[in-house]
Amino acid sequence: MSAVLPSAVVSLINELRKLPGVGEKTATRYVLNLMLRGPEGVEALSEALASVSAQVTPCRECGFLADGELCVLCLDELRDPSVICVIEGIADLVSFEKIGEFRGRYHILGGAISALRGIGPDKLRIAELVNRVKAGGIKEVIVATSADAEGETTALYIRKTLEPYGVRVTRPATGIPMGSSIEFLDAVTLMRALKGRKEL
Amino acid sequence: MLIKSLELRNFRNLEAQIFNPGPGINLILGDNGQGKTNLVEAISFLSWMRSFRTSRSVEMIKSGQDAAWLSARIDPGGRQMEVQLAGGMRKVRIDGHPIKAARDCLDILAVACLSPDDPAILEGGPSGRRQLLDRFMVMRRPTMGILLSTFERLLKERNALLKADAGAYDHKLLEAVSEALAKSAAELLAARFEALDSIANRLPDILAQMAGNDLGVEVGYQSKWFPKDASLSRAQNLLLQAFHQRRDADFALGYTTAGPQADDMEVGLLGLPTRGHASRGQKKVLMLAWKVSEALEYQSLTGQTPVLVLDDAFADLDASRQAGVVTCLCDYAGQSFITSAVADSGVLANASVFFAKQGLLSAMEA
Ligand SMILES: [Zn+2]
Repeated sequence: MSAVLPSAVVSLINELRKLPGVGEKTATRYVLNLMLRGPEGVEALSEALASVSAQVTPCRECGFLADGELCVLCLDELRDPSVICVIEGIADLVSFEKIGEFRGRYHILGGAISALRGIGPDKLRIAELVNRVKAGGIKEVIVATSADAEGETTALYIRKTLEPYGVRVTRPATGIPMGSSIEFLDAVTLMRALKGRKEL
Repeated sequence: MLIKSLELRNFRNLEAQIFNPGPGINLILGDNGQGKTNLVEAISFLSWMRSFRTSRSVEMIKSGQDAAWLSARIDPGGRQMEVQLAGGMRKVRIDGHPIKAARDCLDILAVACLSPDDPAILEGGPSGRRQLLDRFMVMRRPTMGILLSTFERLLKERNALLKADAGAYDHKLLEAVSEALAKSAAELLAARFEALDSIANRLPDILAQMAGNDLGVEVGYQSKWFPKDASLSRAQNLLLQAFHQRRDADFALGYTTAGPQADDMEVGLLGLPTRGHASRGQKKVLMLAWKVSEALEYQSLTGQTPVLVLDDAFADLDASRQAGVVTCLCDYAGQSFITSAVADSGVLANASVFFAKQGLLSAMEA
């Protein structure tokens, strides 16, 4: 198929294929559909993409998507600034926000530690977390990384790193099945795990 | 659990065919090289999603073909399992839906399988015996597969750190990985003990029934790191200490020397280790008894009878032991597949009999 398509179309298909759950077939269908909409349809998408890239930056505090220095969650004064929930990625934050039970602030690491994959603590937003704790006013840090090898290692590393600051470090424990990542947990399990968190 | 029908296409040298086994004993007769072990491999693959002969799926595809297919109807529930092997990949569907993990198959079809190489496990190095125990541990509780792979992953993570320059490593990170590994190792150990105990409770009786006399079988778990009665937290602490004490040695070697990856399972007969002491026949009957014990333990734990598969069941056994094995098989409430080069009269009377010839199975009329 790609042999007969213009190269610009092929490269767009290849970009879309990098997205989760999108294979060659789906990507081709998206692009061909886009072409059907004509120049206006393509422009609108192109502008939307450009403004995402230009206006949305990581929140200085938590790493979530923001259209200024701070995200809406960090600006929300009704949220408790003394409790920080540490998570691996944006998708985990979305899972937590869906259940609406957690009313503190977040801290997105941008992944989990893995020596095998060459991801050391310096590649994650761990120093930023330490700075937030150092700045004071934090009573509890909940480490909600995945219940797999890398998530457990990351959680223990964070506990050791925060040890000198005397902050309470906890981990959602109850009922999270071994090997599972926060992103894919159902709301009931996640809520129970959050309520049943234990000292790490 | 039982296989109602199995359709094979391009699987090794087997001809395309639909095999309809009976609900009890299925005796598959035939000379060597006619496809008996290939059938056994296919059945075992349906449960474990891996072969006992190869880790390369291309080897299971008939030469000159691009893909192999297995399609099985499994009771209870009339579940349909479809496997496609092609291009080094495996695609599995249950009732038309792609599976999430290989262990989904274990949940609908558990298979206790004696493969031709299994008796040699008793003679070889510790890794084969650990694997024997770990497979049973996963069979009886499929979620233990996650525990095992988490442990293996953490071990690799720690070893990756140990390969770094000993002077330049992140001390805190090594401690974190070590602590996670110790926790996971302690859980693995507890699960291994539980699995071993459940086999050890049943094995002596089954073996005595098969062998005709008490062979004084003993199975024990040998670990340099944990006493058997250690609590989870104590085992974890002991291992953490061992990691700490051996840190310099581990750095020098570039891998972790302490932990359950270095343990062994010892199997003894009449006070002597089987390794170097047991005869071929003793090892064979012991492994047959082990597999039957696995099946019975699974049954008592889950209320379901797993499929029992014994390849070349009667080889290396004298007449009285053959009769003992037949008695055990006739007592087994579930479905079984037995391959043999010779027809045993005791089984013949109670079995659905098939002949394997040039990759084709044909049923013998009763
Ligand atoms: Zn923020």
